[in-house]
Amino acid sequence: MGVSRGVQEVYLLRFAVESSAAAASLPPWRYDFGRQIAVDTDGQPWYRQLVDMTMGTTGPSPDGTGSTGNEEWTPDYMPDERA
Amino acid sequence: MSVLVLSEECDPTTDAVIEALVERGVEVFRADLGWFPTSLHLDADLGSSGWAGTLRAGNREITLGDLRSVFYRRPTAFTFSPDLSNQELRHARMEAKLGLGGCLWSLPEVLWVNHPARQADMYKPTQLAAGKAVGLLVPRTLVTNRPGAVLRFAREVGGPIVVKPLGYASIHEEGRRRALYTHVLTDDELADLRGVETTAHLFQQYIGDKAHGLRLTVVGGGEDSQMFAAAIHAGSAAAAVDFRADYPSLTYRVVDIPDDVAAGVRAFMRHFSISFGCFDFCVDTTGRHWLLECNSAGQFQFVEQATGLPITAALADLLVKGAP
Repeated sequence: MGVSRGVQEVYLLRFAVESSAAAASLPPWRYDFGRQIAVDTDGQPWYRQLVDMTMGTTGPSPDGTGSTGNEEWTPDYMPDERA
Repeated sequence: MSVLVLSEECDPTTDAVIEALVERGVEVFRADLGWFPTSLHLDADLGSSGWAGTLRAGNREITLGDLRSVFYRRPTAFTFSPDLSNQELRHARMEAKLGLGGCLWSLPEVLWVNHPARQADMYKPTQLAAGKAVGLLVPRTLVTNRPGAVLRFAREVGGPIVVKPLGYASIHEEGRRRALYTHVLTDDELADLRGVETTAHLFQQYIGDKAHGLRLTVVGGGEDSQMFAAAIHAGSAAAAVDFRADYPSLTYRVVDIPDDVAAGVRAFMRHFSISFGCFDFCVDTTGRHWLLECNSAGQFQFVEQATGLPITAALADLLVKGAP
């Protein structure tokens, strides 16, 4: 798929680089409604097995794609659009 | 007494806080706003003491009147039936925001960490202005869509300047995610400013004599707020400009912060009426602390893991304590 010309025209976007953290694959998880946390395939708290846990995960994507990593979140009065 | 946690399902930070709350014997109700209206249900009736009723998800239910705190972390947007038309979707989104949001906002004596409307006030230019007003050091900063203004700013600063995003720090293109780290502009990049006119851009004086970065996590908005400060030392050139560019190279050290910086940070928190904040500073070689930004729902687990600072415990204690 070719690059959208529109994306290239914004000055700041010239300096976009490969993300250092977002590309890392995360261990499988599922949301445990009973415990109200994410658990791994053994039913253990998922967050405990993550190394540098919050560097490579979390943060709603602003464009509907997967986890963005890092500090990706901007304040919003209840997000209007589905991330 | 209970705590409402509004967060997306995949958030390890929230998970750690929930475990800490459960250890403290607190009833916790966690939901993502993306569950509303299909699997998160509101039943609120306006009585003599305000809105009373329940929030329900699955077989879990919470009484609004029992809420002591709300941990508003990083929920996703409301999710509606795909059968709705665009006009219906627009209508439904607004009704959901005003209805669910309105009922929750009105609950008396509930501590929000942090209230989304307060967080919505915290656009970066607003933060920087508030930081200056409360006496914190802020690098010279320009927001513009005029290339001529950038050249003028560069001349006046007389040293390196950076460009950085005002909002999202990444973009998805060509099927992959690309990060927008703070970028020091070269002479060639300053000579070709085409594209500045497409939208607002933020340029800033680059603090070149940087000793280290500083992440200051503040829990609690009053005079008894707890401050957890960690120096972040960059182990690469990329991390020296923006520590997010190379997390594996970073080392951390627990530090104290000067009294005047602590006072400024408390005043900043009062200005925005927030109870939690992750402040990023740049500390120069003379010890001056330059405010870069505050994220009101920032990450802190990586700092806690590296330093042992008990931020999760402090946050859980704050949520248990509730409003002053």
